[in-house]
Amino acid sequence: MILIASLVVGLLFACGVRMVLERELVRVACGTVLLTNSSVLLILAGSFPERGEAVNVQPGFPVTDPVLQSLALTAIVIGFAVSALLLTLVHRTQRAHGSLRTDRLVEAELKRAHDTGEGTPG
Amino acid sequence: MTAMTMPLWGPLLLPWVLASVLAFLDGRRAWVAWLGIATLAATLVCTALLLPQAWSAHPPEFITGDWPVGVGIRMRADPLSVVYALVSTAVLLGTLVYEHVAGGITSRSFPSLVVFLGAGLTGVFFTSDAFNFYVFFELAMTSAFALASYGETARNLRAAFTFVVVNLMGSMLFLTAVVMLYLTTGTLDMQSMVAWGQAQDPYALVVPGTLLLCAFGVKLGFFPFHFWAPAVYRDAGPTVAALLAGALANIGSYGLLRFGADVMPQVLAYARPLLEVLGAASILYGSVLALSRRDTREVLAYASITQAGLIIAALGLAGGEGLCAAVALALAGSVDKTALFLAQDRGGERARRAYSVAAFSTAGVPPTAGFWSKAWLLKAALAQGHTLLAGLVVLASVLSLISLFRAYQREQWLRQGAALHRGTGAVVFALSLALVATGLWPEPLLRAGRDAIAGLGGLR
Repeated sequence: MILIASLVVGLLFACGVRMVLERELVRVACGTVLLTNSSVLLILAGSFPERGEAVNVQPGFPVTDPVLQSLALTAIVIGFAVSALLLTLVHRTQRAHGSLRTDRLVEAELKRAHDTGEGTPG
Repeated sequence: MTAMTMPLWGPLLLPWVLASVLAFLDGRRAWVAWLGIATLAATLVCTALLLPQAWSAHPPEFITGDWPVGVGIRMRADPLSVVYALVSTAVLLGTLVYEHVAGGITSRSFPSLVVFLGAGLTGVFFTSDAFNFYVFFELAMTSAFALASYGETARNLRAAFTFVVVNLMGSMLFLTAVVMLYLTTGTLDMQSMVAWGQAQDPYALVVPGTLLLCAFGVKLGFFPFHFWAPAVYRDAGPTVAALLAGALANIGSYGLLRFGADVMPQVLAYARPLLEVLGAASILYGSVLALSRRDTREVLAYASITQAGLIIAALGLAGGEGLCAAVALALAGSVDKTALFLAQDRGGERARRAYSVAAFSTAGVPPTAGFWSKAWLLKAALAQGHTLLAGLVVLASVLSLISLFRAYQREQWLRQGAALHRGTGAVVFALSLALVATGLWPEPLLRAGRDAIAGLGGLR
């Protein structure tokens, strides 16, 4: 079980990194969502019965560690809020630039730098 | 204990509650902005009232819900937490006043977000629980993410997007590190982790330690993790850049001190050669690139990379002196950066004066706060025979003096239109005056540095 979980965490992380490096903002946003979820799965994997047990448990009752599950829940909530914020930002960027591609954004940035560079006295 | 003692939850709860109230009000109105300013001022006063308790033999602490240690979340205010909370809240207060009197806030959520950032930062500094640190850290980061797009031009949005994506990676690494710490030590309470680290083999903490170094490196912006800083500081609004560089970067240095020097001193000792190399690389990289930039804010961004490098190099020195220097560098640097970012936004004679004071402090020219923190670092480096590092510190001072004053000569100051008026001038001058006053009477800064690290796990 731990083996499967670690493989999935690794796969999610790798896919997340791959997508963050994409040229389209929505994919970058999805990549960060995958990365967040890989760390949530890592937390949950820590509470699998293979390791650790809860505080103050009577012998004979198989209980996994609830602390990690509460941590995972908190992390999911925070990740959810931040993903929503990021997607809003993607939407706003799209409205401001009329494009979702990072190379267009870089062009706009270079153009601005060039314009101000031309316009400065001295 | 007298009846007048400030409860520890005062500075934690106050900004939190009022920020929630402010979120429902229109921040573009003057009275709402003043309510936000009053909240931050009250938080500052509450934090200052904690000073005598924090310096006593038993720093104030409480455990939520009166649970036993290890089950409940512990909040604790030792000198390190209190000095960081004071400086960060003061910086936030100055920036919010500046933005309001400079011509009005243009977004309804701005005051509320700044106060939420204050609540998050105070929480980060006062918590003694690793996961709670993450929660407050995310509260501060989420407010900063929303603030980064303030102004809402295409340029601001680009800055915000870069900032959010890079810092999300940092937050994720931090979360992973906290969970690894829990899985290894079996506790989330920092004091219990200190005890665990003293009893067990600390090499088990090397992996979470490395992840923490990366996560805080992204916040603080030193050499291999600096890449986002110039683009974000250049393209975000000047007030937002001041908030990010002055207040939010404090999380990075505080986190490194708290987790490095307090929770895992053995791992910090193990990482010393790495910290030296990273510190030296950021000092060189920041100073040289600051020289090559034309945009004033990019120059300032590279100067802050140099500053981060100095803090890392100070952490890399063995013994207490280096850590003291790191605290002093972080505190003085936070005020420097805020004053610089706010002053460079304006033209005219007054802005030039304020800018030059802050620039002298960044470069470490006496009599400024920056001089004493750098002098301390030099002393610590020379005492341990790190002549190369001492040479680098002097070189960085000279180079940042040149680059900051080359920026001073440029077009920015010819523009007379938006000079500092009485209100904005008051903020920038108060910050510069604080730097000069600390330079003339350095005792509080030096004592804050010395006492802040005296209670940390590594030196106990």
